[in-house]
Amino acid sequence: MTTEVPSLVPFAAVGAGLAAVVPILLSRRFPNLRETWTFLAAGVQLAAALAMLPAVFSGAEPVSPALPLLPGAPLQFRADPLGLLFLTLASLLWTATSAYSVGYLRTLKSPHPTGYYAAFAVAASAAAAIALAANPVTFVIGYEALTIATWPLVVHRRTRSVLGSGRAYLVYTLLAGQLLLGAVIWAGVLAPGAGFTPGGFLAGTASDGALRLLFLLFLVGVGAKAAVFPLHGWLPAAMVAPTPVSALLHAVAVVKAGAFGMLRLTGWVFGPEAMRDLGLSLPLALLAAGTILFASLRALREDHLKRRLAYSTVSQLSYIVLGGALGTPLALTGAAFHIAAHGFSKITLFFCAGAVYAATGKERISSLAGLGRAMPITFGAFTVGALGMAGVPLFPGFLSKWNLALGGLEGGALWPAALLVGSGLLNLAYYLPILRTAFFERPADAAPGGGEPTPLLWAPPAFAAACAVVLGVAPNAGVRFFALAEAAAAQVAAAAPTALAALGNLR
Amino acid sequence: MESAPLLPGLLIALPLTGAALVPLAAVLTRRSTGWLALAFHAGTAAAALALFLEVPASGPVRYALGGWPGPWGIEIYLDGLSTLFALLVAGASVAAAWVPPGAAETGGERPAPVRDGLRRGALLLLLSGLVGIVATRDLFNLFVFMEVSSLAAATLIASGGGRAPVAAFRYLLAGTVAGSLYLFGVGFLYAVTGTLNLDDLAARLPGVEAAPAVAVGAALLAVGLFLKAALFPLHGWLPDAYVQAPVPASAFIAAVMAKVSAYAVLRLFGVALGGAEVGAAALGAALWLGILGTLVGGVFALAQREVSRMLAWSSVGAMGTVLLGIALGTPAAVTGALFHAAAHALAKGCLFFGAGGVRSGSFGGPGGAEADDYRRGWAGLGARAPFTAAALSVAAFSMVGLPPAAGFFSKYLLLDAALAAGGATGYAAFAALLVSGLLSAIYFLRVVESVWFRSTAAPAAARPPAPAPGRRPLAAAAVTLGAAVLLLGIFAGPFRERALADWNARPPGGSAALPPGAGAGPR
Repeated sequence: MTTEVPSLVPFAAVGAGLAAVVPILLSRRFPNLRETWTFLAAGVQLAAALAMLPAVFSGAEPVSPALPLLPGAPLQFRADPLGLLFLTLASLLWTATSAYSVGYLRTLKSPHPTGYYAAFAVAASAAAAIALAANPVTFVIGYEALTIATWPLVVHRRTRSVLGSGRAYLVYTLLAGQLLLGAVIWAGVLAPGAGFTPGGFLAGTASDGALRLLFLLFLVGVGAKAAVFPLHGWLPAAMVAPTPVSALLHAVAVVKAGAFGMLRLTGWVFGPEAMRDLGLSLPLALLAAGTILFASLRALREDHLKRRLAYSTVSQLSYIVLGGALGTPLALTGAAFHIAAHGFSKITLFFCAGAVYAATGKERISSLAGLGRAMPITFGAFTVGALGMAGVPLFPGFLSKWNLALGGLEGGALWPAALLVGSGLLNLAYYLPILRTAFFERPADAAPGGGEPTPLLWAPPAFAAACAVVLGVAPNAGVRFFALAEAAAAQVAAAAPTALAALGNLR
Repeated sequence: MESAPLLPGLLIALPLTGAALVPLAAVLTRRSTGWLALAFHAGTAAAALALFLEVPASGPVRYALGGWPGPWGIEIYLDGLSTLFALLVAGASVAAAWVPPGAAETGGERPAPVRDGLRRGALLLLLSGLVGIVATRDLFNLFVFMEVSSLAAATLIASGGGRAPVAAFRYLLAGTVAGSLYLFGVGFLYAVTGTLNLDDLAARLPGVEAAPAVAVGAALLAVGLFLKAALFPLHGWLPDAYVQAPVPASAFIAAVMAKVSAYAVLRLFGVALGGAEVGAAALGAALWLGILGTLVGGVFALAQREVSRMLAWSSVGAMGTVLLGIALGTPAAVTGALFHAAAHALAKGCLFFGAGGVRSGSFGGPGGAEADDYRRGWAGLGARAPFTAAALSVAAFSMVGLPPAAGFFSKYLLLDAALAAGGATGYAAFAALLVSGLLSAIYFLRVVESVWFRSTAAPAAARPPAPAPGRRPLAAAAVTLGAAVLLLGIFAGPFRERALADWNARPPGGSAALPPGAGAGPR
């Protein structure tokens, strides 16, 4: 069905960030030059991603040469629809975040920006490596590199309490990384040399009990980055990072790497059929459902804006996990599309939170009164992001939820649809009060703040919000994210024809 | 097969000659002999490199010392495996020779040339002993080289200040006990088989295996070598010796010394006695002790606040891991163990150079024994010595097993091999490796955190105005080794192929098989 095309473009996508590290470090005395390197690398990564789109839409998959790092497990990159969806999203938003970072760090006069940009570039490379990983070992290498590269970003402020949060972050992610490594090696012993295969490659390679244990290892390994309950604790703690870091990494790259890993795990390692036969679909779906509700309720009580956004992220990521657990074509389509839908909406929200902080120093929702009128562009974008989160029609979140709900019905279960409606209402319940406070409440003190900050701080959220609107109204315009999601789901569906009955045990 | 006999001869003769010449030159000329010693180290490393590159093409190199062929004479035997170790040892010694002995302690003054020359001679003597252990094919000759290296190492350890003589004495005691046990073992085996040549021994053993003397002899050999390799619970000598030894001896000793004994375990029990029941028994013990050692080393390292002591305990764990891999005995496991030994040697050498520099204040910190605490002297190192700090971080990542540092690949190979081997031991080894990886993540990353993200304890004004003593050579050595860790990781595939071509080409049958040429028996 798909044909492999030997190509070096995947290397360019993965290597762009890494190649920029040394120039960034060398030009630490020349801020403009340093930031130019960042933009250059982001541009190369984005160009590489866009260059591979036509081939993937025509049914081909650009595959890099295999580097023989380990016996039977080479380092190899392959651009399939799901991977390219993630890569395009990450590089598009990396570019936007680079502009935003410049504005944010300069406005706040943040110390040691050089290390910040260098670590950011490594993280972008690691995210690309995860997106394009052709086999589990390559995925693990990217996964661990992402952990290490994001650590300096999380502890950027370097106070005692921030370092403590950084430790919590490392404990969660490194523990998960170790378990993932163990799981990947185990899978490699069961199916030597296997790469990610649509429909999975593990079915029947070991006893049911062993495969269930292996799934549990995998689940903890990737689930921690996807912030699945009860492994979500690091994400609110990691909000001590500067806002651009929270925006790109903790709304898009890191947590999406986890959610993306969950899709790879359910669709490309185990496969929907094996998931069903092993009785794993229902528990995973229930775990995702529980996470969605728990995090939404938790977000309601949070007054710190970034932390409320973080709990919203925890909740939204589990939509993707839910889609992977359901495993039907429409559910997978919705889950894959939600990677992009949530990415654009959530990065808008974080950009806005950061712009507010940079302009006024305010971090709490209760202190936002009146700011909607003082910063109309910022809060306009925020409104778009919030409606996208809630899944209001014509905003991107609607399309993913619609497909997820249909995917549930496709498998014969009604409760996912009910869950998604309920979660949408909860989203409105914790986003609308923010808008009410910002737009309609009068500030306690006379001066709400000094208007919009520098364009570098309001243009990126405006851009991301515009992308979100386009994605909601015309999901197949431009990059055609929805078509990519459909193609990814079709790959799994073609390899797992009986997956439609995957929910036989969910009724 | 008998290619250029010059190189194997040089490999042994060069450091031995240097060990005599360098102190002599120091006494006669009363001038620093640094360059002369460095030349001997570099020559040895060059010979090892040439052999390492040549062996995959030419096949194993045999060289009869004095023209007496085996099994009567002493044979030098170099295959991919032994040249890998020779290269590792000689390469690490070049890094160590680059740093003047005691440069970090004398506060910038030049050390007295004679004392300096004697230390350099001892380092060369240690090198010759270790290279000899790697290259020899003779049981008694191996004992001689073991004693040579023991004495030289004890001298080097004792040359540190403070409690160093006590540590040296303990080390000497352990070394002597190990040597004596080993020698008894050799005696028992010789009494039964009448040979000292390893190949000959392997050929003759099947007929006399039932003799109790063989079992006793093998057991004594095993305990002696385990003691030298610091395998838990025989590791007591290691932490003090590593911590008290002065730079650069500490880095060299920590990098390679115990690993050479692990290599001897592989040669003796994995290959020569591999077919015999006694060999399997010794390896079975090594497997469980290795699993325990991996865990115990990690737990004790976690409890240390002084970085050099933490590094030493981490070495106890690493020796357990290496022996665990050797004892698992499958080609994949042995490959992993050897790669782990190489990766660990480079990273640990790098870290000990760093630790020495921090203790001496060479990197601009406060210095002193207190500075060894990871929250004091190590805090803010990234700002004071960014290149060294980067190299140390790479080494630390390698110890934790994070990609793309070499340690990730060795950990992967070992985990893979343990799981593939299966059984209670395989699963226990798998679990122990994962747990120790997590422990090392905690105790190494807290140092990395301190290095980069904590501010310097001492205010900038309190720094010594003069350039800190020994900074440049220490930084150069650490950065070189750190880069080597990264390169070894990136070029893991080809490197492994080359070093282990002979090992992998063995006939199937795991550790019971002999390397090519070993089955030829007496010639």
